[in-house]
Amino acid sequence: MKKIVCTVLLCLFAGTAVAGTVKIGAVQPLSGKISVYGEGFQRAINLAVEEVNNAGGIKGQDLEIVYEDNLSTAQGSVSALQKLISIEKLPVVIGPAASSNFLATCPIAEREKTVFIGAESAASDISTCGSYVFRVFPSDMLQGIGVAKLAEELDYKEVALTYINNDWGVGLANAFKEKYKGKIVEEFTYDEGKADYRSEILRLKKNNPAAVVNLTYIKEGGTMLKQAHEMKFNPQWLLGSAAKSPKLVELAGEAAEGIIGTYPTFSKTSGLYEHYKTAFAKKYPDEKLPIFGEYNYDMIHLLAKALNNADALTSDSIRASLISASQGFEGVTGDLSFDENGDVGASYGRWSVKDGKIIEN
Amino acid sequence: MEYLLHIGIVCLIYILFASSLNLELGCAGLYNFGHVGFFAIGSYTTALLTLSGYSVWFGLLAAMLVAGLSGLIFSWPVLRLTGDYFGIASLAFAEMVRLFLLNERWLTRGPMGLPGIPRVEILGYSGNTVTLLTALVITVVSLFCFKKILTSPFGRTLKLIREDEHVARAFGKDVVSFKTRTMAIGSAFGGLAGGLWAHYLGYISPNDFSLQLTVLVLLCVVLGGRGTLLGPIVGAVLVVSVGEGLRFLPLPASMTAGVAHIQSMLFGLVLILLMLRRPQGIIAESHLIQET
Repeated sequence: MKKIVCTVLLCLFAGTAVAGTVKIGAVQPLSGKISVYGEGFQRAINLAVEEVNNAGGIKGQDLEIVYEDNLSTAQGSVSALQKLISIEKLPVVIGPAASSNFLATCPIAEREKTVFIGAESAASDISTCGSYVFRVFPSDMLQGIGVAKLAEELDYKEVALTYINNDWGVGLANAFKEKYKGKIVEEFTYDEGKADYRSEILRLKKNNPAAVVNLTYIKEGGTMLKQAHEMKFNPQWLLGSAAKSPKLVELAGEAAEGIIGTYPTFSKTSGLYEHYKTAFAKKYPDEKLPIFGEYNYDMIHLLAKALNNADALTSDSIRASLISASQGFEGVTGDLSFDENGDVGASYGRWSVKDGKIIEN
Repeated sequence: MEYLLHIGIVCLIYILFASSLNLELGCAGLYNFGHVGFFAIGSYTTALLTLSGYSVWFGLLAAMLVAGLSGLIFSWPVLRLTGDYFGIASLAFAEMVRLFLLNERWLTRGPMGLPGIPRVEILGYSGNTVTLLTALVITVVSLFCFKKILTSPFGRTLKLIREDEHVARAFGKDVVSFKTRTMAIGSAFGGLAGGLWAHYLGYISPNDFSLQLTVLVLLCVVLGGRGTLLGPIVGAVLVVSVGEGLRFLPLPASMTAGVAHIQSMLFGLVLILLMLRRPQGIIAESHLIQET
């Protein structure tokens, strides 16, 4: 066994001993449950890498991403990260999507003093991961607070709260409950991916609340709205950002009329966003803009800036340079200044549906 | 080399996990498709205890006890079922455990999982080397226990039950009692493996304990050879190292997405070939050796 491993290792080193590139690692869900998203992230990352290299690369060398598949599992993420750190010896690694996989790996990055940066993980626990861990994606805390503010601004003193039973839904709901001052008349979770939510809607209907806060995804949200409408239950629905999609309106039909949600705003009319959109369409003519692609794209540009400014390509100097590079860094998704936890801030806007169209205001 | 240490630790945990299943599946012929449930119980028991301040060693012991007790309670009613019905009930049990962990948020934090589980620490050292040594000692001691069980009259009776329950009954053996005890022992060691897993990864969430893990560990046992001591060891080492070895295939970046599919296909192919050519697994059970 050992022999085989050694031979394989030797082959690998022989194969990759090409000078002239600066490498960073990426633990990505390339297969398994959430691989659909992984492909999109990879496209956005590759687009940004291409731009960085066309603009001169890192100190004259090309930037290269070493992808490792995490099979969408925690164990796979740990394996992938261990390999990137101890075999490839990379000072910077991009963390996996899904908060549970990120949380399983961030203690290793912290222990091994490797700069670890995520573009999709929202769990609030990530803030306490350590000083080498960063993310360019706003924490759950902020979005939960955003929804609570929305409910208060619209002057709802009583709401029913329902959400998807996973790390994302529960995290948001906890932040919401902490912030919201009104009364929560009913609270329960529901499972992801069901075709029928009538019993959940009956439970909501029992209390007849004026507003329902529903922290949901596209498919689940669409199904719920439609079935509630069929059951003549028409409260004011308040949603989060994950449901903000034309697909939801398509699924729910006229039931989507008048729903209100929050989303982390970044100016979509800004030149940066237009540039990203056209560059993406040019490189991948057949692909739609991937979800969270903007965050991945920004992350690479920010990393490139940090790598260029770093005194040496060691994790400590990259870490210091990353913090200073982020201050006032304007990306597609807005200001990416890291706070002391390595988190970014976000401002939340409102979206609603009118005449079958999503309106941002 | 941290990465090799990592593979070593994962191998050892899988060996322990597969060997505990082997006791049930290989020796007693109990098709337990819910072994991951006991693994999860062990993980959460020690995680919750150590997070509230108890030592890792106490946590691991408690993981064994609670998982073993769950195995006992589970098998009490279920073992009155035989064959396929037992398999289905065990599958349902694992799903019940997962749903419990997912929904009882006051205890388990539900889908948020448990972060910050302490690592194994000896004399102030808590690196991967220490974890590897601990896992090695625990696994070797456990394997020694399995060896004792396999070669004892108890183990031989289990094999008799596996081959023909009626004969066992005719010899005056209380079949249900034997099976119950096997389930309790197997579950206890499964829980111990789960405990090691929790202390190694440092973070667990209910979704780690899905059917996928059950299939993987079944593969370890069936591939290596049911009913033998060496079989699950060989199976576990093969399954883990083939999975990790595929990372080193010199493929272009655009192809990496295919690696996991290659892995699944490879495992599938190996299983089919095995069924056709060598249904007893890589290490075949030798009745002569077992008897002496």
